[in-house]
Amino acid sequence: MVASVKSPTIVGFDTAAVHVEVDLRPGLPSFAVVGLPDAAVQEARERVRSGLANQAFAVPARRVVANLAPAHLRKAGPQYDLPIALAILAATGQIRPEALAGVGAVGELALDGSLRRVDGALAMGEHAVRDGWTRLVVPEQNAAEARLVGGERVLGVRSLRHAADLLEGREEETRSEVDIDALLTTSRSSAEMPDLRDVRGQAAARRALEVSAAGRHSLLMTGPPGAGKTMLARRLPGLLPPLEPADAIEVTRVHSIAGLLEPGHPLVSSRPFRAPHHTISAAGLVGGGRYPTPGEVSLAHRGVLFLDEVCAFAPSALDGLRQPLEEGRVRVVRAMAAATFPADMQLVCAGNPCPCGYADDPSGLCTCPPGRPEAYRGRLSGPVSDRIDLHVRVPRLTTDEVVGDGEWESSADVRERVAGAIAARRERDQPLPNGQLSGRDARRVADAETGAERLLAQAIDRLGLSARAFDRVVRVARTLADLDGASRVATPHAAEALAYRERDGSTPRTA
Amino acid sequence: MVAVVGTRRATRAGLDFTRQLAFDLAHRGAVVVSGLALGVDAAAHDGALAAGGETVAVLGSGVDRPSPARNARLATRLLERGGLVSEYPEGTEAARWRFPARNRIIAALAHAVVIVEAPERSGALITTDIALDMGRPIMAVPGSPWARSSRGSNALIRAGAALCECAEDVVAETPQLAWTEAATGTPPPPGAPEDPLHARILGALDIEPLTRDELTASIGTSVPQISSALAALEIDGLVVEDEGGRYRRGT
Repeated sequence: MVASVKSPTIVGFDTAAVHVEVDLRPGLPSFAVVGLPDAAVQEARERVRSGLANQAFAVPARRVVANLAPAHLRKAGPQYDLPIALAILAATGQIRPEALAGVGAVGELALDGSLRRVDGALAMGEHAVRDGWTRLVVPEQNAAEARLVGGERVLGVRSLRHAADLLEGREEETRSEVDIDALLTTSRSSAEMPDLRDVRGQAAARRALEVSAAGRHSLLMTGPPGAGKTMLARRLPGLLPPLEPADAIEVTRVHSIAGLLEPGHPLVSSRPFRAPHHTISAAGLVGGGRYPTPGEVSLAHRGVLFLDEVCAFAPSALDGLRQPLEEGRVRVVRAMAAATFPADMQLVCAGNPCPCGYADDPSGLCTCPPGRPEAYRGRLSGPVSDRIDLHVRVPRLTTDEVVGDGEWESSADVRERVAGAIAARRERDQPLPNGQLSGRDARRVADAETGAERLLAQAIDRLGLSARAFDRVVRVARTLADLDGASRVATPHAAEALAYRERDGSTPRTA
Repeated sequence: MVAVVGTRRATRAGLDFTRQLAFDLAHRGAVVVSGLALGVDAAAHDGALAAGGETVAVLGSGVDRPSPARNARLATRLLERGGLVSEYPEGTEAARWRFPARNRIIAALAHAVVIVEAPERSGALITTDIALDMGRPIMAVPGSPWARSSRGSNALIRAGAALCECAEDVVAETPQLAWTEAATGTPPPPGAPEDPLHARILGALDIEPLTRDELTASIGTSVPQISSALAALEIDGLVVEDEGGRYRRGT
């Protein structure tokens, strides 16, 4: 007697259907799992046997073969426990085989037959819709997440017995609605995010942060330790407009596949802020693993990736940022499989001017040997610094700023101006944020006034602006004009944009 | 010939000043002598070359082995305009103890020695000692009283060295040299700038270098306005930003 049930599985960022077939043959009692299973799938045999017995089901005293098809796809993890157990129940007549028609199931079994959560339930719910499955049985901890896309066909179950009863119609399911909009507004409002009001001083860096949010420009903050670079960066997500429902679903999908959803929070409702340590490997940053899993660039999708001490990151890791920064996604090719993950994040870097942090500080506290600060800063050259539009110095606070009780602007005020700038950009039918425009497109939408053009031309001459640096200045100038509500880039916009350009050693001028 | 020497661990301001000084000296016809080391020495050679002038590096190694390696390109450029000088035979590798020794050649070649930035114990101070013995005029560039990198040079001023704030000071100290007139048409446009904000910024920077935040606070306007004014002033060469994010008056 053969019985089968479908099971969704995550392949990179996509999903596939696995058919779980169970056959009972006469012979000495045994239990085999075939179809490229990894060690965790092999161990399903023990969990399924105990789970069945402890939920008062009969364990077949025959030759049991479970086949996971298609056979060429590698099966990993404990998520096949539930479908294997259900197929055994159908094959032994403990539930009707028809009860499994059009049904997908996924879940890890505990030895007592209760269910444990799996990763990637949201994507599995989406797969059930796409493939037209009538039912998707998931552990109840995953139910809310799977319902975000899967809707009412998703059945959250507590245990193997619960699953059997629901499928046989012996028990009424408890329906619970999932309202994405409500989750977006209530679960984690931006009110809980760190606020700019708590940051003292740093007027110039605040402005740079606002420009960065308005045009999705990558940002590099340079300054000595303790100046407040990390504090500032943490406040960028709160300046961005709230996540759209579709974006929230996509972000949740990434976090779900990575197994990073917090219990009780089925939807990632605020923009992610990821701050990996500088010792992170290239695979950790861009994604990797035998079976590719999302890296930090993807976990920061639609949010902010913050690299503190950016010059201390491995050059190989930083090189991996090129594709995500240019394409908004990243392709991870590993020995076992290849996968493409979304990685449309905003990059914020912070760095010290040298390893000890005090190079060029007027105090002369720097303890680095000659040449080391230059070598240190040189590590950032190339693919990353080419994509950073905004460069800003974050000097140490003065005594007045540290002890003073000034009132600082709140995130809400800045967010309003940012929203205005984004609306202005949309109004001229420009889908891409200014920070992602090519040089030519940027010059076209900038539509610089004569005075601004003359100023930029002078800048190329006298400040030694390179072609790439020029493009960056134009992009930033466009955002400054958007913040100003101006349709064309005027001289003050161009001039302010120049203040955020990358600096290198100054060249002598005739005096 | 004027020697321009100083610490390898110079501040950005020190390097900028060195380059400008060497540039101006070369413009007035001086040959700039230095030691090809990182920091002030390299900036001095570079500034003179940028002016199309001549400059000589005295090495602590054979002329075919200029050191440090990082300045190899600078050494090549020096061969085109000026030259490399060494008392050691070709093939001699650089060694620590040879550098103080070459300083006496720098002192001997120069008609005046300018120390830009030097901490308390610096090779540049060895050059001054030797130059004093030879009767060469010593000049020192003043540094901030806070800066360790200027302790040595400030001490020289206390001990009676002449103050060097610009190329003119060097010219005044060495009347025996055949100085050419300053190139025509190069000084920055005189008089106050038209924009009142520009004038206030320049006025504030005349007193001390300031960051954008400090300028915004002291002038009482917005960051966007200050930023765009500073950029315009930078283009006109009236202000420069140093690595620490401070703006100061350009020379």
